[in-house]
This record gives sequence, structure tokens and C-alpha cells, in this order.
Amino acid sequence: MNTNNETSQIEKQENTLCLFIENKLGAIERVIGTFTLRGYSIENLICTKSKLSQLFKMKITLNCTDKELENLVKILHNQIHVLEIKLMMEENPSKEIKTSKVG
Amino acid sequence: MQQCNKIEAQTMSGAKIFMKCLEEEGVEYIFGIPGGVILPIYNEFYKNETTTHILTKHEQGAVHAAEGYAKSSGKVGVVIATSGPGATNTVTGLADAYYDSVPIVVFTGNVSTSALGNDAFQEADIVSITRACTKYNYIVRDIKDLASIIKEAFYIAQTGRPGPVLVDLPKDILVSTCEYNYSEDVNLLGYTPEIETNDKDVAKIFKELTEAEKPLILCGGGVVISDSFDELTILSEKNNIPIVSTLMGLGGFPASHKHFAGFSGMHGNSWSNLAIYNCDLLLILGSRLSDRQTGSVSGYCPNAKIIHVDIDPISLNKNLQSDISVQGDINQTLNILLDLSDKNPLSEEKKSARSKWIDEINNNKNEGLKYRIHTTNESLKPSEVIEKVYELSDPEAFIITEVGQHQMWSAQYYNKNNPRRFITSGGLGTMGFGLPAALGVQLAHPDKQVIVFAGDGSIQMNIQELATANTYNLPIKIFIINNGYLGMVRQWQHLMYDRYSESKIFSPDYIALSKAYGIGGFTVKGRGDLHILEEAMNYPGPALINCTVEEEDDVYPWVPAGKGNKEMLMEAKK
Repeated sequence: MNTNNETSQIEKQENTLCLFIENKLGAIERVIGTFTLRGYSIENLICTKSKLSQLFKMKITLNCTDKELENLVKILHNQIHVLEIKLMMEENPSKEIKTSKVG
Repeated sequence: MQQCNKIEAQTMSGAKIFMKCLEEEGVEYIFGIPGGVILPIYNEFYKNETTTHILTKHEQGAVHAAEGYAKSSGKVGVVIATSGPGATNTVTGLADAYYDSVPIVVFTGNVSTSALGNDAFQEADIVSITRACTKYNYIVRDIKDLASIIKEAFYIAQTGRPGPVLVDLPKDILVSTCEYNYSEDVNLLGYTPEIETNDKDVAKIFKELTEAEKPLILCGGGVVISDSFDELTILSEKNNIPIVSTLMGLGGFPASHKHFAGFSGMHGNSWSNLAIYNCDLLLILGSRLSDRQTGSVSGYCPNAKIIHVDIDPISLNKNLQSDISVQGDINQTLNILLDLSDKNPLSEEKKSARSKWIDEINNNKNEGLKYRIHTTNESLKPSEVIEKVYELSDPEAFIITEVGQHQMWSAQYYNKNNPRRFITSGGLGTMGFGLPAALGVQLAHPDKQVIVFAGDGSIQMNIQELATANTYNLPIKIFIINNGYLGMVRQWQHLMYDRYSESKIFSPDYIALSKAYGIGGFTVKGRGDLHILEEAMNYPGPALINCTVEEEDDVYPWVPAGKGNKEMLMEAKK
């Protein structure tokens, strides 16, 4: 039934997202803008060109709740140049979970 | 993917390519104002016969006019503005279209690519400025990309959840030349707006719908956008389900239908808010469920199972946690539900239970309507004027509003039975939206009556567009509900601070103003003048009707901020 969206004092934890985005003008700014608007502070950010020259890889670490992470992944997936998002497992950084677009 | 005709490649200037692309997209009207860097395009308008340019007086007016055109016709609205201030003036309109999912494409000029970032005259980094208020935006840095970017812009604007797209055109792109080819398909790897609604998900929705005793459908803006007026009406009739509407959903269901249970939200009809509170199943179709719709979410529909369908996955489970949430196109979803209804007709037992439910809503409606009775010895009420105008207006008229108290009354009294008839600024709440939007509506529907409800505050925010109404002889009728205040601000100040600050406003002499702009002018000062409304409505050209009403009338029902919708105030404390 109804639950309020107000973030209760749920524990935040460190999460790392790995994004593959198209290497298009303004694509990185759009991704970063998603974080700033909602007040998520980025702990760590690495951007590199991937092996495929049209793709860019972004690795972003931030502190957030599970609900915030779920929302963020949805919002990022909605961005036109975001192709893939992976969640890196904290206990085993080599392990990844691929998320997919809803629907 | 969109298909278009193969055209033999020809070399032409960027400005000519631009015009060709508009032609390919079937653009009838483009709203805008010329300026320095965009002149190569304007030179092409001189010879162009397929796209008509509508010269507004302010770029904000141009964007709202394009929104009015798009909202009333379902087609893409197109705007052109010059660099610098021309571009920044489009920002409010873009944000408005972004919130209300309006498909528009805005083209702005910019200084030459070599001068970008060098503080040239009339330079603005409009792509950065509008990143947060557009669905997508582009700057064209290579003329070879021009045609494909324009194609993508139109595609993005009108697919999925529609929205505004901005394309920034540096001057050198418009004057250099390149081979023109518009035959490419749109190829956006990360953008897949065509979502097939999952049949199994809809079957689950249908199962819940048939089991419910007091089901209710909330018709959101998505119903209007996806042109699902007929489907929703049939579904409601077949399954005996009442419909409530959000502000943006008005026009998605016939208002005089016996199943229509009004408009819900902070200033919604009381029976509508109560229906949501009392229902046992709420099917939400195409709504973001903003704070103005739900009030405090815990008091929104505490007894109901919640099903939410929206094309935008971000809107699902954002403000209200639903029991079933489905990402999908509303029209497709409704069509599947209709198929299922055909195969599984409603049982007699459920039919009668739902008739009782509809009676319950109607009883609440009769109670709510009692608050509308005006005492004839009081001064003229604003809602009285609005009700009278509705009564006198053509059944197929388009109703456009500005933002404020008059907007809420216009929504409460809405009575049209055709789709896309209520055009308003919902999410952003942009004062100054109505008058220019009405110009776009009238251009899209030249034979229909177009009525604007405005406040004395709102009308003064884009009043310069009266000149545009005159120039193109667009016979819109603007009813100014003039109470001498920024009414909604005054109402809130009264409740929360018990004193008024900067909400009393000056108005010009509207009759003199209408003369100055060369349009019809009428004055309604009291109840005895109400017959003038009809006279004004039959005036052959654009007309401004200044209706002086009671100064301190408040909009009720009113759900105070942070309260549940059931806790609405029905009248002022005496």
C-alpha cells in the first residue's frame, strides 16, 4: 500500500556504478547533472575511452540508499546516450550485476 | 523508425537544408523572431510556401504558442529564435514543455563555431543552459550532421514521453554548403521509446479491475497525449467504472459523461478527491502524481490497491508506491483491456455494486455542488463569470488558461466533451502561458472557438502577444478575471501569514489597451453586465473582456499543504 517517499534514516552505503555511454557531445555532463540535481555527492569518478572509440566508460562511486540507487539507475537508463549500467559488488569488485532498462 | 522519401543528393547551404528538413517533417507553422545570426534562415522564409512563419513579439510567447499548437493538435510545435537573449528567452517555455510533456523543437542561432566561447556579441551557451529543461539538446558543429540532427530532434520530441528538444545552429553552419540527404533512418543506440506493453501485465490489471467493487480510474495527461479519449470512454462504459481526472488529464474523458467524477487534487472537486479516498482500486493512467495531485501520499487512497501505468518508468513508484506498476503506452494498454473486457463481460453482481459506487460519488457531488450557489446580493464572483462563459461557449470550444485562481476554477467547472480541449500549464505553472498558447491553438484549429481565462496578473506577463493576435487576426476571446490581486498569492498569504505582501497589483485601462492593440474591448463590472459576455463571444476578431470581480474570493475546495486530500477545506472560516 502507500508508503511515503520521504527518505527515512535508512543506512547509506557505498555503491559503484559502471556506465557505458556513447561518446557524444554533452553526454558526460548529462550524466553528472543527474547526480548534482539530486544532491548525490560523488566519492570517486573515472572516465575513460573504451576499447571501442564510440564508447566511453564511466565508473562512479557514491554514498546512497538502495532506494536512491534504484531511482538513479532508472533515471540514468532514461538518458539517450547511456547504453549500459553495471552495479559493482562491494565485497567483490570484480563481480558485476548488469541492470537493464525497465520494460 | 521513421521512414522518409529518398531525395537525390543536392549541394545547398545550411539554411536551405534547414528549410528542406522542415518541409520533410511537414511543419505548417514556425513561431519566432528574427535576429542577427539567424538571418540566413529568415532569408529563406521569404521564398518559402510550405511553412508559414508566425512573428510573435517575444520568444517566450513563441514557445508557448508552439506548445498551444502541439497540445491542441498532437503535432510537433516548432520555434526559431536568434542567439543570446533570443535563446535565453525560450528557457521558460522549454521548462514548461518539459514538465507537461509537450513535443516541441526549438531552433536557436548562435555565433560562428570559431567564435564560440569567446564572449562574442549575443553569444549564450544555450545548450548548457537548457540541459536540465529539455528532453535532449544539440549544437550542430558540422554541417554534415545538420539534416540528421534535425530528424533526430523531431523523432525524440514526439516519441516515448514527448518533450522539448533544442537545436543550436551556429551561423557558419547556416551559410556553408553540403550535400543534402534526408533519407537516413534515426539511429540512436540508447533510445528505444517504442515499448510493447506486456500482455501478461495488462491481464493482471484486468483481473484486479474485474474483482474490485469500487474501482476508479485516474485519467492523467498521458491519456490526452496518447489520444486515448475513445478507448477510455468505452472501457469506462463497458466496465461501469467512474473516471477522475488530473489537471493535465482534463480533455481525456467527456466531462458531461455520467461516469465523469471531476478533477482531483489540491483544488480539485470535493467529490473527486473523496472518490479517490474511498475507492478500493485506483488505476492511474499516465500521471506523474505530483504533490499537487496527491497531497500527503498517506492520505491519498489509503484503502485502495494501486495500479500505475506510464510510458515513463521514472514516474512509476516515484511519489506513490504502487501494487502493480507497468511501463507502457496508455493507448496500447487500453486496447488490450478493451479486448479482455469483450471476452469477459462484467457480472451482473459487480455491475450493480459499481452502480452503487457511482451513486455514492454522485451523492458526494450533490453535496459539493451546494457550495457553488451564489447569493445574488453579493458582488460578482469570479467563479460565476467562468461558469457563465462555459455555459455560453461553443460545445467544441478550446479552453486555455493562464495560471492561478482562475485556472483552478476553470478546471473545476470544465464541461467539454471532446478531446484536447483543456490547455493549461500544469507542472511548471507558468503565468503568461495562456494568451500566446491560445494563438497556437487558434492557428491549429482556425474554425473553432478559442477561449482564454486569464487573471489580471497572468495576462500582464505576456500581454505583448495581443499584437500577434491582431497581426494574424486570430479571433481568440480573452476573459480577464480581474480581482486586483495576484489572487493565489493573496489567498496563501491570508491563510499562512494573515497579511498581504506585494500581492496587490495595478492593471492598465484594458479598454484603452485593447484599442491601442486594435482588438475588441469589453467591460463587465457587475452581475447586471453578464449579457456582455455573449456579445463579446460573438465579436468577429480577437477581443479582451475585462471582468471586474470580487477582490478577495478564495478557491475552494483547498487542501492545505502537507494534508491528505480528504482534509480539504470547503469554504473560508467565518
